[in-house]
Amino acid sequence: MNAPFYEFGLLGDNASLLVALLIGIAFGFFLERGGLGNARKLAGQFYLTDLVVLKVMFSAIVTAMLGLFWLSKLGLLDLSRVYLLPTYVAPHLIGGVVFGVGFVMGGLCPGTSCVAASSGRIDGLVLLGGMLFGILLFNEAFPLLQGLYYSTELGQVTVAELLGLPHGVLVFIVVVAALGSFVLAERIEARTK
Amino acid sequence: MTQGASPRPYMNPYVAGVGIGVALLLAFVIMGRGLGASGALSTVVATGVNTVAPDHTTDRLPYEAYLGDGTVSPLKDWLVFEILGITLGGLLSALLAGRFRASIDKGPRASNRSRLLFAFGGGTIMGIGAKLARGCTSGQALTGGALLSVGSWLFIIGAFAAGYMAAPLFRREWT
Amino acid sequence: MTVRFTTNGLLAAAALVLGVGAPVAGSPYRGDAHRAPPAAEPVAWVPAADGRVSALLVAEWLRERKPGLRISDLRGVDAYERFHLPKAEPVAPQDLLPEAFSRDETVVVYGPDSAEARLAASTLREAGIGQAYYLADGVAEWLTEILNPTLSPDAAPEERAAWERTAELSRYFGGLPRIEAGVAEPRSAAEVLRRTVRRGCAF
Repeated sequence: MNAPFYEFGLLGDNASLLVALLIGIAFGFFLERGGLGNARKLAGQFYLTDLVVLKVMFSAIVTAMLGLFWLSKLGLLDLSRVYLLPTYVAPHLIGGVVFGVGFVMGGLCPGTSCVAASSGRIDGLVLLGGMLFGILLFNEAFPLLQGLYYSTELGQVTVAELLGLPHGVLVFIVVVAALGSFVLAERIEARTK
Repeated sequence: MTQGASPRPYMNPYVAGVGIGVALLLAFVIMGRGLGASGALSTVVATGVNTVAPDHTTDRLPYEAYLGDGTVSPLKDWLVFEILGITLGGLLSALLAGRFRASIDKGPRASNRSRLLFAFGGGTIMGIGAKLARGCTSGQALTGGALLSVGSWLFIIGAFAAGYMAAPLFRREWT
Repeated sequence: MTVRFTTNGLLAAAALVLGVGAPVAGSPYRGDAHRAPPAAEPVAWVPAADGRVSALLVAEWLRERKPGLRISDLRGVDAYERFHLPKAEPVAPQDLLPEAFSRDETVVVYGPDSAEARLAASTLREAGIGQAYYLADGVAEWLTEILNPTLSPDAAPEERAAWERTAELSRYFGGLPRIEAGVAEPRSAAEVLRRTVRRGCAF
């Protein structure tokens, strides 16, 4: 199997848009199934009353991470042809902090706000509007933010490469951390019920 | 339309997470890229501004990066189609589970007015943060997290740390 | 003795098995992290005797995450901020010193013109940095060869075979490989960026 299919020219541009739609439907479906279309459940993460965000996100990350590793290992996927997001230390950290503040304030993120809006939540729709406004502000302020935006570029680097660990060892560490955090999460939720 | 006579309980979050993980993996396997959401919203903003003030977006970053060269609509974009899918998938799941309800989710002590104000404000702040970090929970945390990218994990740590530290400010909205 | 199989238990067990197997299984990347080009390769995939490399080769090094790869941009901070090659570092020509690199690193230099870049690379080689190369047409070559490669519709079969490799690389970096007749006119960086397909939420 030659994957990623698009990288091997097996998929046209129109077909890839259809793929986007179908994958998006699956993504939105499972987000709503897990309750992430509900701002109150999402915000509960930060008050330790409902840790569904941790459980869903970390499960998703571990699933995809294991899938990438093992499909590659079995020769079914060429991992070097999967686009690795480049690292910019300061923008990623600062952007993350800013995002986190907005997240606990608004209770939804871009993807989940679409799910909330499509289940009738007016707060989801309003939050979506806020995000469009925030993006507009950033765009207009870009000349001032440009320096920060392009700073501290490390290029495409994985945590394994940075720490000098074999890829598989890091995968193991992440799995153990995830399972450990799930056990902890169940305990915390039981206590705050 | 309001359902909600007896909405179904939510799915096991770990199973839902695995479902999302499989969708993310399919994106990697089929397209060689991950998921995203803020990028689609950037395209929408750029298209909107370009429609109202085309001179303003010419040769100006970040706008021009989302507009293409004019031969094809900028909305014919992978992330735009994906976010449409997210919306449809959410609608489908909500309808099937009897959870579609025109309503406002908020904490027991919050008013609708404060909830909506904070939703708009929080959304604005997240929009700025997502642009700076080159993605959001979908594009950076999930995608980059699975790829073990350093920047994405920095984003995750920054976002969750900040969320916990800022939580006391919004206690009255949620608890 | 009864054993209860819960959904969560099964998921956790599966994750644990796959997770424990990972460190034992070795690297998920195919072959070595960098592979030597095979003997009978077309010129573009091998450094030339005077240190010239093609954008295609640099692109392949970047994609394979070749260890010790350093890319130096001599064009000045303004040009760098407008557009630079992935992983490039801005360096003033007078600051491009051999001490900044180690002997086992692979250095690629590009600048406003090929003469400056070639001189910088050969200076580094003379000072003992054996793998110092230059990208003759710098950013223009990257924009044309990687982000905007074209193949004529009536190209010979061997060209088509070589095209596959180019097109894959191009798509990886978010480029737009196209099969079209006519000579591609030079495009500005801004125009090429406009046409470039994004691979994430960033621009």
